[in-house]
Amino acid sequence: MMIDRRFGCRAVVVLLVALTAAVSSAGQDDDSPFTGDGKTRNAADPIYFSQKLADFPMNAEPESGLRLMPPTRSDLFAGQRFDLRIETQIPAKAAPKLVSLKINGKEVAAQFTQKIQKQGKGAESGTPKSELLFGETARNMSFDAPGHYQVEAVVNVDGVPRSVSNVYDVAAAPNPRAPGAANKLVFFLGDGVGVPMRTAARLISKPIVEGRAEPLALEQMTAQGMSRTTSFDSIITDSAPGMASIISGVKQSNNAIQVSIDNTPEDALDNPRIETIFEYMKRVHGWKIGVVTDAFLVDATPASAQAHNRARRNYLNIAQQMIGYYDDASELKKTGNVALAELSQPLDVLMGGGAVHWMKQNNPLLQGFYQYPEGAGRKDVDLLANVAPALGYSVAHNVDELRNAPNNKKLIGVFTGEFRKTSTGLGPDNIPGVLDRLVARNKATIRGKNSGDPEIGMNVAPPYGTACGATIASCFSKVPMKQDMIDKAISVLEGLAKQQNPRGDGGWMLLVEQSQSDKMGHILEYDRAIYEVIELDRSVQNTVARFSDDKRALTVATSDHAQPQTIIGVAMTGSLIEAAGTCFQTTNGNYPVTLGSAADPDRPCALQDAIGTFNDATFPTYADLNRDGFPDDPDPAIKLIIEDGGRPTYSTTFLTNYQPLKPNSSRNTSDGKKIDQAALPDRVRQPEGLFMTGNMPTQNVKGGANKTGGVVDIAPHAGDDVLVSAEGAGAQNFAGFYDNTSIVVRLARALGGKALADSSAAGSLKGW
Amino acid sequence: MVNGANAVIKRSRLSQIFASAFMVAAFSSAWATDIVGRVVDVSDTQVFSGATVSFRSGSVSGPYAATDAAGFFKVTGLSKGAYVLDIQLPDGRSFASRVLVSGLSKTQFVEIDYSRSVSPDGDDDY
Repeated sequence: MMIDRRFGCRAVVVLLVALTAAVSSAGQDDDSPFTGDGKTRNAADPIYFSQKLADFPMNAEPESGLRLMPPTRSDLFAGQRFDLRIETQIPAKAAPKLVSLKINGKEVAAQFTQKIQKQGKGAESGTPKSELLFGETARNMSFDAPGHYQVEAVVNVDGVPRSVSNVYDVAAAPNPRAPGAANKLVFFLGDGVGVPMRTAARLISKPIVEGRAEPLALEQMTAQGMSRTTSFDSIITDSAPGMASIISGVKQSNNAIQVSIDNTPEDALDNPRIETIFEYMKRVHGWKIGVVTDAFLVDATPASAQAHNRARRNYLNIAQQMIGYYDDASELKKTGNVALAELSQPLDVLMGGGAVHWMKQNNPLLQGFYQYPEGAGRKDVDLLANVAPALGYSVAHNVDELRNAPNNKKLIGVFTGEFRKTSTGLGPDNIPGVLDRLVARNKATIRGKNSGDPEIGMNVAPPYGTACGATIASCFSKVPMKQDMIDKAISVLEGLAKQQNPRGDGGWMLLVEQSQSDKMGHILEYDRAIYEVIELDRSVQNTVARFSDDKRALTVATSDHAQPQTIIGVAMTGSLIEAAGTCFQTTNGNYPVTLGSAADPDRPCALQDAIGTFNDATFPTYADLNRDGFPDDPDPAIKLIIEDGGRPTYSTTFLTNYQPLKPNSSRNTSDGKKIDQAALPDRVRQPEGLFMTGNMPTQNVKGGANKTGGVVDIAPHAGDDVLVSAEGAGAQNFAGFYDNTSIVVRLARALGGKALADSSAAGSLKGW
Repeated sequence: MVNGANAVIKRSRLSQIFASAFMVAAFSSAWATDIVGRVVDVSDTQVFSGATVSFRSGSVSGPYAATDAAGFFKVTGLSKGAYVLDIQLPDGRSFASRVLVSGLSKTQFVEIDYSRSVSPDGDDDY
């Protein structure tokens, strides 16, 4: 009935029945955002909710593109800071003028204008270069009480008053002193971990008897929910808005970190910002905050805790925000960023990889220890050697220094990356994957080969010096495991909280990213990706156990998005080895298809035939004889087989590579630029394998099929919903089916915010 | 199983027929829309003046326009439908984009971002 009324067109109903059925049966427990009358929309509704055709739905006045930020229906909580921006997108003939700004009917235009004058034009107010565009941002505003707010702006554009309105249902602020409120939070973000990867982690790390597997720790958490991951501007999010939306409540655009996109594309730092719950708890309640990742520290997920930038790639700038260092002689200037410095709260604990974003070019550690080639590094300041110590941080370079660091001092740990020259899959910015760190520690083998085997590539000296160890294996074994990082991070956060508040009720929150579940998935190193999910699960298990007697601890685990992997069966490793090279022959990069043999011409490729599916799938045979929680070898007698719904062209034997490798080929252009070739498999990666034709774009299609156009030389993200799991104080708030932005409101509730009894207009806008 | 599979095929064909009808209706709409767009690179934080933006629908050429000092262009009188945009930047680079014209407002704004047309520089930007 609802469908007929909305569309009034049988054709559209037929076209879209699957989509709408999925939406209406999903058991969503929040309000649908698609209740507008359509009159005030520019590029308006998604195609499946009206007959409009548009690929960028936005709440804007159509003729001027007048819009308000934060976006309408953002999930805000009382007291949370945001930048209120009013802007037009379409140039007028003369400078547009603000006529009215009403909050729940109360006129505040004069205060708004006064605030802009106080901030000054330019970056502080997000002033467009062209006066024919209107654009003003009042920084660090907030709604002072929970309830419903309607914000309406009227701007005179060429003599015509244009208006737009946004609505917000503002939740109660966190109140960590309320009875039962959480006062410590460990928030796990398994990057790119969809449901199949959780299942895979269970199937290879837990015993199965008569079809029943021992559940993961993730599955045993009290509350389970489902989160929708669509970003502001795409059904496929990247990790920036994927994480940023979760802890601030504002849907954001791809590549954006804790900002909305404004009409000044010339400036990535002046965009309207949103305060995260990490920043809020530190600013308002003095909580200590930390991030731990196995990616480079300034990567999108860790950066989302408290950095603000339109472009996630502005790494040097983001590094400075993470420790709160503003200097006109550096990448992050003091001038023009007064409001940013007031908003962004420096991290008390941070650990990850990517020394290149923190150290100056000439620092000998960058080469000799971190193994970057000559010339790599910052040109402005050395954050790790000079700035961070001056700001009161102790610095750890490896696991020994990490363990020995004091617990009453802020801490930054930057560890060596996957720098093997023979490994093309990960790069020196990210710390080596779990499987590779286990191999370096002689706690795992790959098809029986240990760290001393030449094919593993670890029993050699590091390429640029031996400051991290005599061999690559010894360097990698000094890179902490995730549990080392989490244990230390919690000790420091607790130490600092206690130092600030000796009564012991000072709070803290820690973001733990399992990054390489995504990065290993992108390069189709599925076995390695599963080891990452197992590490995530073990971290969750240990954290829940650590706080099992603490009624005020909350553990949450979710993902920013999924990847399109799925479990298709098992295979005998021996059969895979035997079958490799029998299917397709490579001749100068060409792959003629040949089936079987003269004696058995219809027999399919032996590698395909090696996959056991349906009743042939039986069970894999992973073993954990050393009892470290991880399979001792990723290729046991019978192994799990995962495949991808989206991929570049590649070749696979389904065996684990001895080192992580990129799936696709690349070439150098005449001007020396490296170009990825998503249509060609890497010739050194399992060339004897099954040829998998890619289904990702390979070039900028002039036929216009695509906006992204460029080469996608990796497995992509997926648009699937992801699980949210919670245990401890306030965990029940995370049951349900909701947008990722709703998670911050649920966190606020778990931290003592009252659930709203009604949505009446209650408060006012503060921050003038 | 066989019946189920047939049903899926039938539904799929039906959808195709309706989809075709829907697209024809979209292209034949009488609504005319002005497109105001801006050619930018959000990663390099710049706007492009002097870029040429050409609209086409399939192989049928449509209007084209050049961007002004702030990177804006305007084309008028477009029918509802899907268009390919070929963009020529002043420095010689070119790329393609797309826009779906809703036909429900007189003016429609599009931001055309060069950085979305190229693969990320590194392997870490996902």
